[in-house]
Amino acid sequence: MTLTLRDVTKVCVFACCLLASTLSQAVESDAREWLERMSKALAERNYDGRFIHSSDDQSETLRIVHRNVRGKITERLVSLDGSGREYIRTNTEVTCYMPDTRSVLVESRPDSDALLSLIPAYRSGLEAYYDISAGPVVTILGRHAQLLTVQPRDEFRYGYRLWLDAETAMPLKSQLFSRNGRVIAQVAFAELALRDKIPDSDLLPTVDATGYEWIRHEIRRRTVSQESVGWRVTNLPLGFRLQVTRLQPMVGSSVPVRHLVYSDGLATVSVFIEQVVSAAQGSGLQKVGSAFAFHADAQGYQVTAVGEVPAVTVKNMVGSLTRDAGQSLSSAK
Amino acid sequence: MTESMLPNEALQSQLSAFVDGELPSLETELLARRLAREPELQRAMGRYLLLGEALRAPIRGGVSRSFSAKIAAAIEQADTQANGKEPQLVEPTARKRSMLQAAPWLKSAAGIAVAASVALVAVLVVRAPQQATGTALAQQAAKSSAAAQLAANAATGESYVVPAVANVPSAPIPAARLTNYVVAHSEFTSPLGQRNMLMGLLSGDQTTTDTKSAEAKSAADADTHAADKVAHNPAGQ
Repeated sequence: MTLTLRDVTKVCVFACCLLASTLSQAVESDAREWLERMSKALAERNYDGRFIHSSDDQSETLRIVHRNVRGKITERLVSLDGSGREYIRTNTEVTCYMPDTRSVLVESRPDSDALLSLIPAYRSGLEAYYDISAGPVVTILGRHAQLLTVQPRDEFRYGYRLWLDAETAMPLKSQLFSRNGRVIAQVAFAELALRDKIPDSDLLPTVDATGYEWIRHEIRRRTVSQESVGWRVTNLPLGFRLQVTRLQPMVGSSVPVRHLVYSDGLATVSVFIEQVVSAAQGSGLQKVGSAFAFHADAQGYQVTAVGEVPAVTVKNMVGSLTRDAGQSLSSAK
Repeated sequence: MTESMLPNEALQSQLSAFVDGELPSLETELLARRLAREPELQRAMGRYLLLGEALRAPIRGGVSRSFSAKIAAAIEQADTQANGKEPQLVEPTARKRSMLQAAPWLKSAAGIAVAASVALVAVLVVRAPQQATGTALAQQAAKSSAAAQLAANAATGESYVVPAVANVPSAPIPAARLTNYVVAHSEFTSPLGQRNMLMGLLSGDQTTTDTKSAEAKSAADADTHAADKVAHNPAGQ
């Protein structure tokens, strides 16, 4: 058997391609590992910090105290400007102290509310829709931070810029940006202390709730499944899949609202389907913080899509909702 | 602290089951009859439903200026309707009664809940210190205050109904409903998005902006879809 020069060249080119692709995969999976480390750090670490959240022309300072004791999470968020509201969240209870209305709201839920586990965490296919790259190491708050950019590959989703602490992967600063680079929202820590232990006293409200009105509610269980139950969005951006569907009672709705959750592994869009008794309300787009909501009426249903995605995505999703009978329900034009 | 919201534990659990959509229809009917008789219970119910949505997730935005304006408008509309024409969601006709036994009560209970929710939000707006600056805001606060009072009165009435924003093409999503949606949605966002929403949690001044600016932002963001027509609200809220 003899090898011609051409054969050798072919083999070399092939080998080089293989090597290059392996290398690029390695770089991408490395970047994705950063994302996973960040999520893990946010959930599992003990920390106490102050951060500034800004969106458009507004900004607000908040304090966050987060404790994890063998999987039992307690988190306290305090508004340091204005309202003085505090939210304290545990695995089974959310308590909201609202000094401005002298009231406390408490909601308890089963410990095994495993809704979030249904959302896959940064699955490997993510790179098909986002270019995830690790940038330079910079200094933030006197610490080395790895810059991570999650750039959307199309106009149907937003991107993220994250400055992760090189040692702990905690996000010292993060930005949500549109495909053309406009920053939509930013979170930046002014100080962040990672602790071995967080004392109970740091998780107690500073609000003196004496004389406040207490309102309690208990959620027992909700109907949750991963089947679409007849409803389907047909015009989905690449990679978006149905994750969860559930029925839930809502204020102002005489019948439970059907809630479909679609995600590409990073961005999530909720579609709400509600039977309406009243006349049609037309359709329209609204901005909600850094998210968009689009709604339309059709054939006795009010359909609304909400998500931190560009307007075109929620519009397309509402516009292409169908029932299994096959006919398009909505003409969201 | 006062925890005198609900008369007793059995009733509390009944209300809770009702809110979760788990109360058997016979019990629902009995509860509905009591609700119709007892204004106290109506108030409790309204708050109960409100709470479920208010705390559905640990993430909840504050109240923006345009949001409060919308609420004030909704309350005004509700008030007009309550004083003027027949409310929309009243007792069913005798003909339909057998079929709709539970549903109309659900509707009216939901109506009460929306009223209570609207009142609370209005109160939030009025009392939040950072909101009460500037003339326009002061005016709005006064309006909200009056509206809150109206809503509070209405919530105790027997036939209070929050009307749908009907006959307005391209109307924005009713504020209370949108808030519910956003709160329900936030349970499912990824740690990245969740974090971002979490950060917005206690912001006192961020929920909705008007449709026109949403459209403008959307157009600015869209590379290829700027030509898409987005219906906007003629009321220009």
